[in-house]
Amino acid sequence: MIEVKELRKRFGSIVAVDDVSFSVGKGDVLGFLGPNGAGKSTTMKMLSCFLSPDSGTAKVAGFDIIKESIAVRKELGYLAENAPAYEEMTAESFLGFICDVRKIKARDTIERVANKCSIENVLHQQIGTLSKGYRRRVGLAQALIHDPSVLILDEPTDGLDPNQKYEVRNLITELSAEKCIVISTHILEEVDAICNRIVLIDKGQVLEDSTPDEMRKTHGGNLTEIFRKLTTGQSKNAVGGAA
Amino acid sequence: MNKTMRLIIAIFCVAIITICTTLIINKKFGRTGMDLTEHGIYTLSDGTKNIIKKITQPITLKLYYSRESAMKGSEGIQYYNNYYLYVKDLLDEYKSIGNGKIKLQIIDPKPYSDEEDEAIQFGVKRFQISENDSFFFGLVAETQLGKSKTIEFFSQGRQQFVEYDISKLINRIISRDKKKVGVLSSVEIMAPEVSPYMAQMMQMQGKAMPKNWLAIQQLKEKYELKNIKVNDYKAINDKLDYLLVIQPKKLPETTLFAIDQFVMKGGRLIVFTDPYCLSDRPKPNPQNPYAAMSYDNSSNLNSLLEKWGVKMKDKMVAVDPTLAISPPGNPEPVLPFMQLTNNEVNKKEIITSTLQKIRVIFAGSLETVKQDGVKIIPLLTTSENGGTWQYKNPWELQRPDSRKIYQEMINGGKDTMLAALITGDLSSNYPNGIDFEKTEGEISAGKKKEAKPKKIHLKAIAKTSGDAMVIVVSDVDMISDMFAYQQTFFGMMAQAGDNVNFLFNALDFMSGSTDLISIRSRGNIGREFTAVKKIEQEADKATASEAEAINNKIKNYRQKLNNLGSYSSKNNEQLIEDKAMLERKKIEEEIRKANKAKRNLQAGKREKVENLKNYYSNINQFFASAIVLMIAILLSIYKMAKARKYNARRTR
Amino acid sequence: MNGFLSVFKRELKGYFFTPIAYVFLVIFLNFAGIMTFKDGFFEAGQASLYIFFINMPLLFIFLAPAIAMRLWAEERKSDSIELLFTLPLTSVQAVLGKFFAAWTVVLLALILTFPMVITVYQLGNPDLGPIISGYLGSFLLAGAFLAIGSFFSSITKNQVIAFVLSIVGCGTLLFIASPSVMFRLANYFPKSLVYIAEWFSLQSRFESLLRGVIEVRDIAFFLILIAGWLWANIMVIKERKAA
Repeated sequence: MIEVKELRKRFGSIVAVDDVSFSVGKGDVLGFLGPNGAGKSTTMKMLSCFLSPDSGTAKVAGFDIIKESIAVRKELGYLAENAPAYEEMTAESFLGFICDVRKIKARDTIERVANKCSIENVLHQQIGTLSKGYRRRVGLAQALIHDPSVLILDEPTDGLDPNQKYEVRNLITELSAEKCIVISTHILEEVDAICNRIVLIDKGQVLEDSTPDEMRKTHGGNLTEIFRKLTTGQSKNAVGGAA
Repeated sequence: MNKTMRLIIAIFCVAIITICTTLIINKKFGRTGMDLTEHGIYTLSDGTKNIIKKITQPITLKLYYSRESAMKGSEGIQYYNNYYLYVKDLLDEYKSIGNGKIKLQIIDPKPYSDEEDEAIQFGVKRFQISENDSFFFGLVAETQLGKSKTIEFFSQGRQQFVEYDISKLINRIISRDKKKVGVLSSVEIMAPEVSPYMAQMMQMQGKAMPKNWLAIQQLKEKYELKNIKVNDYKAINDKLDYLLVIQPKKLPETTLFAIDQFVMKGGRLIVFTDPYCLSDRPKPNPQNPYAAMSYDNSSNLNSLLEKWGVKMKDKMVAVDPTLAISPPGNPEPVLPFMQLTNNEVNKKEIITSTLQKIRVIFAGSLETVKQDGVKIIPLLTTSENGGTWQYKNPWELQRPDSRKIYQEMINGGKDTMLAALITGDLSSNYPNGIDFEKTEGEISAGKKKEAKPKKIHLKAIAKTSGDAMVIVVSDVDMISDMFAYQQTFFGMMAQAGDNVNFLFNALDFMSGSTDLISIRSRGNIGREFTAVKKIEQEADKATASEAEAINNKIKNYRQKLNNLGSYSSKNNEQLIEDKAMLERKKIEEEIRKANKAKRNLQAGKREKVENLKNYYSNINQFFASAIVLMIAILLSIYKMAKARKYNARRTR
Repeated sequence: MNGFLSVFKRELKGYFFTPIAYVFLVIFLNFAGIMTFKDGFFEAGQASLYIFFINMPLLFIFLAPAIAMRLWAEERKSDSIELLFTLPLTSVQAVLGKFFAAWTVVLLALILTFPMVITVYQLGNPDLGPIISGYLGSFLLAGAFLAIGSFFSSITKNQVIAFVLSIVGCGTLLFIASPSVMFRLANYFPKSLVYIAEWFSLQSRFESLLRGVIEVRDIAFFLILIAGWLWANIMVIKERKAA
C-alpha cells in the first residue's frame, strides 16, 4: 500500500533523504529504524504530504503524494514526532475538530477511539495540561479516528510508561491485520515485538530492507548489535567510499 | 533554485498584481457608489445637473492646486491635500455629467512658471508659504470666447458648500452678466441721477452733491442698480431680478402690493428695517426746529412680513451685554451697540458661513410667526445672553443708559433673531388684488368700492409658485457708511467688519437660480444632541421663577445701592459716611449672595448635563465589556463544572 | 468548503477557549468608549459617530495584529502545523478559515459597540448612512490589518516578531499618504510614484467611507488588499510549512 520511489529531500546543503525506495503491503508493520537525524521523520513527513520531496515520489494507498495529496491524507493516519495538538483545546473538542475535518460523525467515534487509546479519563482536560504519555495517546487517537488504511506513526511509544507501551503495542498488533503500518522507533525490542518488516536508514540512505528474523540470520547477534554494527560501520564505509 | 528567493519573487508579483488591480479599479469606477447619507450630500444634486445641462458651448475648468508646495508646507497647508482630492473627485463628476462640454485641467503651478502667471492673471489667490514656494488652490472656468470666472480660493470654512460654489461659478459663466437690482429706500441711499448741468448748478450754489452710500457704490460694480421712488409701484416689475427695500416707512399700499406681487412672482426681496435708524435724519427745517425732536426714524414692513412668518417687534431693541461694544469716543460699552461674532452668525448658511464680525446698532428684534409651509432660518442672532429692551419713547435711545437698559432688559432666554431668511410657500397679503383711485400724487386705499369710475383694479397672484425667498434684516445702519466702513490711515474708506459682505453674500445668494439654491438646501442640517438641549431647557424652565426672583432681588439691591450713593454724596459728614459705608457693604454682600445663588442654579443645570455625559460615557465604556467578562466567567465556571462532573463519573 | 468551515470553527473556538478573545474584546470596547468621550464626543454635541469611528485605525493598528499574530506563529511553534497539513485540507482553506475566524472576532467586537449607536439615537437624530458606512469601513479596515497580521504571522515562529512586523506593515499602509510622509517620499522617488502611493492610503480610504458614501473603489481597495495579503500568506504556507 505504500510504494516509495527514489525519494530525495534536502534542506539547504544537507541531504536529509537520499534516494530512498521501499514498499509496504497490507498487513505489514514496518519498523523504520535509524539513528537520530537519519531521515526517518523527514521521510515520514513526505509520506504524509507535509513536506514535498525534491525528487522522486511515493504512492500511498494508491494515490500519488504529490499529485493527489488530499486523497492521500484522507486515507492516512499520521502521528507526528511530538504528537502536536492544539494545547488550549480539550481532548474531546480536539478530536471533534479532527472528525469535523475528516467528515465523520464525532459522537460514537470519539467514544470508540478514546476507549481504544485509553484516554476516556482525560477527554475533558486541556491537552496542554496532559502528561506526555496522554498527549501521545491523544495523538494516536487522532491518527486512528477515521480508521485509515495506512498508518504512519513517528515514535508512537515515546514517553509512555511500560504498561502504556504494552497497550499501544497490542493495539498496533491488533490493527495490523487490516492495515499497512509504518512506525519509527529507537526501541529495538519493540521492533521485535510488533514489526514484521524492518527498514534501516542512515544519512538518508536505506541500509537494510528485510525482516527481523532475516536480519538476525544474515548479520548475527541481536538487533541492537546489528543496529550498532550497521550504523557505525556504514559511516566508516561511507568515508572510505567517498575517499 | 533557492526556495526563499522564489517565495520572495512570488510575493513581489502578488504585490504588483494587487497594486495594478487597485489602480485599474480606481480608473474604471471612479466615484461610482452608493451615497447612504440621508440627503445624498455627496451626490451631485439635480440643481447642478440642470445647470450643467444649460451649458451650450464648451467650457474649460482649470483647477489650480500647488500640490508640491503643499507637501512641503506646514500642517495647516497639508490639510488641503484631502480637500483637494475631494474637489478633484467632484470636478471629475461634473466632467462626466457634462458629456464632453466640460473639460477639466489640473494644474500645479510651479514657481516662476507661465502657469503661475496665468493663475495670478485669472485672479487665483496666491499665498507665499516660503521664500520659493507659493500656494494656490482655486478654480477658473473659461469659455471658448475667453470669458472667465474664478473661485479665487477654496477656503476651509466653505468645504460643505463646494458643490454650490462650483455650480455657481458655472452658472455665472453661462448666464447674463449683470443682474438688475431695484433699490427702494425712504432714506437717501442712492443719489438721484443728475444731469451734468444740474450738478454744475448745485456745485455753484454750494450745495453738497448727494452721494451714493458706499455700499451702494460697491454694489454698482457688480449689479445694475435702479433707484425706485417710494410711490413708483410700476417700477417694481419683472424686469428686476431682485428688490432691495431699505428703511420702508409708511409705504403706499400700491407699493406694498407691488412688493407683495414681486415676491409672489418669484422675485427675490431683501428688506432692511430698523426700530431706530441713525442714518435716517430729518432734513433741517429752519421754520420748525422742534420737528426734528419728534421725527420718527423707525421703519418696518410687518404689514407684509407677518403673513410670511416674521414680525419685527414694536419699540423693541435687541441688546446683549456680552456683545456690547463702545462706540467711537465712548469709553464704556453701550448695550444696543453690538458686535456679532462667529457664534452669532449662522455658520450653516451659505450667506453667513464665512462672516466673522458684524456690527449692528439699535437693531430690532425679529419674531417668528407661525405660518404653514414657511421656513424661517435665522441668519444673525444675539448670543443666548441677549434679549430685548422696550423703550418708552425714542428719547431714551439718543443717550442710551446701559445700566438702565441692563436692568430693564427682557431676557428672552433664547437668542434674539436679528436677520432671517424666509423660504417656502408664501401667500399673498392681497389675494384678491387691490383697487385704488388713480389720482396724481395721492393714493387712497379703497376697500372694494366697485363700479366707480377712475378706480383701478390690480389682479393678484395669491401664492408663490416654487420657492420664494425673502431676507429680513432688523438694522439699516449696519450697511451705512458710518458703521460699515472706516477711514483708513490714507483717508480712504475701507470696509469695517463683514457688514457689507453680508449684503453682498445675500444678493449673491439670491441671484442664484432655483437650481443653484436647491443645491444649498440639502444636507446642512445640524444634528445636535436634542436630548441635552431638552434637559437644559427643562432645567431653565424649572428654575425660571427662581432665577427671576433672584434677578429681581439683585435689581432691588442695585437700586438701593444707587440711592445710597446719591444720599451719601449729599451728606459729607463722617458719621453718616461710615454708616453708609456699612450699609453699602451689607448690600454688596447681599448682591454677592444672590449672584452665588444664581450661579448655583446654573451649576444645577450643568450638573444635569454632566451627569448625562457620565452616564453615557460609563455605558459605552463598561456595559458591553462587562457583558463579555460575565460571559467569560460563566463559561469557565461551566467548563470547570463539566470537567468535574465528568471526572466524578469516571472515578465512580 | 468543509475544510474551511472546520478550520474556521476550530480557530474561533480557539479564541474563546483562551482568554485572548475576552481580553481583546474588553480592551477594545473600553478604549473605544474612553477615546470617543475623551475626544469630545459629548462636547461636540453632534449626533454622529464620526469621533467614534475616527479612532478605529488607532485601535485596530494594535489590536488587529494582536489577534492575528497567533494565527500561524503559534501553529509553527507548537508544531501543530504538521498536524493541520496532514489532515485533508488545502492551504487556501486553512488560511481563509483562520483569517475569517479572526475577522469574526473583530465583527463581534464591532457589534458589541452597539451602545454607541443607541447613545446617539437617544441624544439626537443621527444620519444612519454614515453610521452604516462607518461600521463597514471599520470592519474592512480591520480585515486589511488582519490579513497583514496573518501574513507576518506566517513567516515566523515568534509571535512578538509577528506582532511588531504587523504593526509596522499596517502603519505603513495607514500613513503612507499622510502629507508629511509624502513629502519625505517625494525627496527620494519620482513624483508620479509618490502620487500613486496616495491611492494606497488606508486612512484616506477609510475616511472616505466614513462620509457615508460607499464607493466601489474604496470597497474594492480593501478587498483587493485583503486578497493580496492572504494570497501571499497562502504562498508562504505552501512553500515553507516546516520552517
